[in-house]
Amino acid sequence: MAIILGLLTLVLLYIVIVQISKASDLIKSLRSGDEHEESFGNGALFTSFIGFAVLIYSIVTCFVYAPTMLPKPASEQGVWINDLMNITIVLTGVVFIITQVLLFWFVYKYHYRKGRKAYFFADNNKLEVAWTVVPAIVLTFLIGFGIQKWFKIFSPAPKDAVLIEATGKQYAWSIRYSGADHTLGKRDFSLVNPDNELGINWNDAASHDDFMADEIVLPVNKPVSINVGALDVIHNFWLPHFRLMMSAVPGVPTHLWFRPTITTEEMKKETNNPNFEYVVACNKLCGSGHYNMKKKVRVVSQEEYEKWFSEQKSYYTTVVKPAMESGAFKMPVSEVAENTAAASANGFSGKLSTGFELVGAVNGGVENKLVTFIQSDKQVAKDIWFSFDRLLFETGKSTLKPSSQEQLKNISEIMKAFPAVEIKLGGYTDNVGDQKANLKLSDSRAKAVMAELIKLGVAANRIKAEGYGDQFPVATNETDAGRQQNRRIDIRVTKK
Amino acid sequence: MQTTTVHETHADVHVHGPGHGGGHHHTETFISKYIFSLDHKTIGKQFLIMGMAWAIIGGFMSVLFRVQLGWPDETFPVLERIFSTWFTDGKLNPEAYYSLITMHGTIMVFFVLTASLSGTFANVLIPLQIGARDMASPLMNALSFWFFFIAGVVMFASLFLPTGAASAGWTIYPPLSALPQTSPGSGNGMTFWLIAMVLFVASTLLGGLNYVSTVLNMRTKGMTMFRLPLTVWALFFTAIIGILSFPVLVSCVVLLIFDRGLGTSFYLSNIVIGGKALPYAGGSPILFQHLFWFLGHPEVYIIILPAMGMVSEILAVHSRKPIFGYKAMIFSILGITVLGFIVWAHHMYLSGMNPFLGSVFTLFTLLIAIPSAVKVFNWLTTLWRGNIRITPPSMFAIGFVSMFISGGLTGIWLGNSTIDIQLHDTYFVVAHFHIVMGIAAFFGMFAGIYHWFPRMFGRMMNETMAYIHFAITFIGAYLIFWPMHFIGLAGVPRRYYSFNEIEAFSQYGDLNKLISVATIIVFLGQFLFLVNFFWSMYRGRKSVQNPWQANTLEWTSPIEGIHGNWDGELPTVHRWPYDYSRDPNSDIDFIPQTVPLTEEEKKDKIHH
Ligand code: HEM
Ligand SMILES: [Cu+2]
Ligand SMILES: [Cu+2]
Repeated sequence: MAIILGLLTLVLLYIVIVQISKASDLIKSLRSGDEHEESFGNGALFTSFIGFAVLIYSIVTCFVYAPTMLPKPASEQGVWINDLMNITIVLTGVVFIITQVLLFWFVYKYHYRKGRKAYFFADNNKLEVAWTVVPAIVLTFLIGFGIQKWFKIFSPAPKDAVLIEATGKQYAWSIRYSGADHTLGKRDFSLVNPDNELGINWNDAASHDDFMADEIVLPVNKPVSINVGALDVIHNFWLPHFRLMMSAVPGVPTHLWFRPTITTEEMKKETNNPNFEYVVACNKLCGSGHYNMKKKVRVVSQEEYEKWFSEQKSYYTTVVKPAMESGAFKMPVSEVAENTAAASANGFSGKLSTGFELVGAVNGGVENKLVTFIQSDKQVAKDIWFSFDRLLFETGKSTLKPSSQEQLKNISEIMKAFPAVEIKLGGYTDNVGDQKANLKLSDSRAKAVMAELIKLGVAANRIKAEGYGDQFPVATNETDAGRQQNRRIDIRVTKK
Repeated sequence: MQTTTVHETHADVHVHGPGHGGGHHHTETFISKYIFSLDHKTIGKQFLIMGMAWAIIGGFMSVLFRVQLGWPDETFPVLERIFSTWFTDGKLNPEAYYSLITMHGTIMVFFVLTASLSGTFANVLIPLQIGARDMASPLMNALSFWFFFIAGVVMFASLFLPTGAASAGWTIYPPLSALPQTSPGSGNGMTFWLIAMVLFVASTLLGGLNYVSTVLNMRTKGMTMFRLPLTVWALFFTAIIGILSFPVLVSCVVLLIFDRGLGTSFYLSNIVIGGKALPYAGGSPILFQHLFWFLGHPEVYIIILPAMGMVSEILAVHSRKPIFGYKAMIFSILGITVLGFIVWAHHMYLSGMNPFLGSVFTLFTLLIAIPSAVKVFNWLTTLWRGNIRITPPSMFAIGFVSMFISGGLTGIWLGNSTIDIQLHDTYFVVAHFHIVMGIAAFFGMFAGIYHWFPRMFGRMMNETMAYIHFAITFIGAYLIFWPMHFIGLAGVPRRYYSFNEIEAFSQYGDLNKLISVATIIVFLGQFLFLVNFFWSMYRGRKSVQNPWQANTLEWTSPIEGIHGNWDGELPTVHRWPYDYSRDPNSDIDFIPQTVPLTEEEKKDKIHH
């Protein structure tokens, strides 16, 4: 209703404007030629006024928004960039104001008046040389200053730099620290497999003390050297507070180094924001999750850094070696922190006792959680649910998209490998829309998954399914990402 | 349209028209006259109408995604009812968002501001301003339009694919664009995009070759190169840039097609997806960027040069003064053209290319600011001590200069590689190129349409509506794009579906609402232009033969528009096009190019 009203008003507004305009046309055609020419000057004040209004707006907003921009640069390199930027702001700002003022002032000052003669002024070599040469000199200065800093920023990193590897993939950064030996273990593309996405060569002893970190922790005032890379598509490693970025390109290694100068704690005070955190965000369109590809960065004192560093566990000794010894060496590297414990407890490798190898299952995925749970000595409980992560339904329907087959197949194979296990499937939605409809949809979606598993050869009496609508949310329904997490199918082991 | 009667009476003019071969008198049907026309004026109008349609589609897309950015937590069931495949639970899907920004960019950059802008004005103006009966090859000219049309059909069709339209951004960087498993839009949507672009380039080349040969070979008697209006110079260089750079886009795109379909690895190497290594080796995604930007940068000048040319002409006519520094204007266009080919890697400073290369490209990039600055100063001097008639065309031309200054100055920030380390791919870049290219080129286009509308349709556009249109568009454009500088300086990356997922970027909720509101108003404001355009086409005040009292030749050809452009003999040119207010003692402040030089003027060595 509101929309129809809105549209109507709009149409009316249009009709009014058009009618007034037509009338003005009519008046024009009635007037004699001379009087018509009079009107050539009429719009001058109007144009000039709009121009100056916009000019004032653009200058005022600069000051209004200045405090909302990035806090002072948190790295040595950032300071250089900031200085050059400030010089450029002043220079271009002056030119901006002068030229815009002239433009809109001329429009008014020299607008048409009957009998005024324009001044025939076609050339002036001196003037033209002047405004070629002056900008050239100013630009040369800017280029010189810029290039000098550019080479400094991209100079080789100091020897004592903390060495980190950042690898982007849709839509996360994985961070590998060189351990005590300051050397990252070699990587070899031919070694890539689902358990070793990065293709790390575990025969290279340098890899043995490397560790994976779920946040980037940096000591203040120490240079950090970052090898940037990507697995699938191009990403961009963007550190806004440090004013630095570098593309992460699959197949083309890139590099970046800098010296952070302000700790997170200091920055919290500086910005008066107790929740302040440095962040690395992705700055190159990399797919539909691009806007949410981030990692926390923490700059700490040297002592804190050393403490943190000593607490980190070598990935090789905690994960790879035990797995190798249990004969199932194949470990993914993503989301390590979460899975280190589970993996080292049972060495689950993605290969089932039936010989079936789970397809595309990642650590932290529902397959691994399920198997880990079944193999553990934990009791079956009403509140232990795992969420499917690769099931997709047609929007608003309970039809599974074909891409869901991989995960369903994995689950059915797991059921076959553990014949005693029985499960229950739960369907859930977010809280948007009609509650009853949600309940119905969640129920039919859970049933659809059950039907699919039965089709894949799991006995019907081993599975139950029920829809719960918008009950039991696992995330907030306030944000989009949260709602997305709430629209899900969960699985619970009811007997094992 | 009034051409019918006039055309019948002058049917014999046909025989002079190039491309018509024999002297037969043929009767024209609606189809041959308006649809498959070979007349440059009609083809120009076809490009214009097509461009307007695309601009509405592209503009509407921006409204849709601005709704998402302005009100990220609201739901819009109404929109979902209309665009059910793009919305889920009342909200735009991320996949649809990325398809929309990709299509918006592609449509605006290529279809509206390249094809339609050049296509309209090169067609309407080149033959009329150089004194030719038509283009060198009317057939190629018509083909150029029809390739453009088909490219558009393919591009439009991709919106309805089940996997969605291309969604890798208008720059379609691989591997994202090469591997459908990384993004649904890189499936058939991308295939359609690539095919459409190949067709599009064919259209551009057919048009461009035609424009260049027409300017070089078909100028009327007395029309030396240095007597050409700046519009023709600009369109001439635009066509040359297109001819030299668009073929590189084709090779760039064809290699991508190979990588997608034939398993080659031009752009792909060491790719791991879902823990599996893909069998590509030896290529480089950076190679794609070099090829793409070798077109991509000249492309921005393809867009802006025609606007610059028209603005130069319009400012001179309406301020009743010669353009200041006519030769400097030509040489700055030449400078921009040449330098424009050696600055492409400023889009790739942070792609990991050699820092030494980065410094060389910084040098060339900042050099290109010099001819740009010269042009701005020359426009300002043209206005200085003029007798400026404030009309819709001059208003939009002045708006163009304002926009070009605002956006050109931020180019000096971005061109400096060191500063670009902070600004690359942030909203600052979005602000820069929308102002300097998007809005400025639209202003040039509007100025051109308002100025040459009487030439195209024999009637005047309504001024009141034009003034309101100007106010809405000019103020709105600054409200939309100026604050994006601040958002960019706060570090917010471009191409984000939502700013709420990363704390550091989430502070501009209100500003984003404001921008979205302004977007909607500006979009609605454009319908004022459309109403004016179509209403004036049939109902506007009848135009006199030379409504702006301009010097150039197009105003000597019968205003009704006839096939072959001039009855009988082609006009002879005696002087340059900018003799405005030349004689301070005369009441008439313009001397058309067809007026012979006086004895006194002949002694004066400069400017004829
Ligand atoms: C004063 C002269 C100019 C300089 C020095 C300049 C410099 C730059 C630089 C360095 C970038 C890359 C920024 C980045 O991605 O980090 C850029 C982007 C861009 N510029 Fe300019 N520019 C100038 C004028 C223009 C003009 C006249 C146009 C168009 C008419 C234009 C259109 C664009 C576009 C479309 C982009 C963004 C492309 C994209 O990434 O999607 N620029 N400019
Ligand atoms: Cu990204
Ligand atoms: Cu460029």
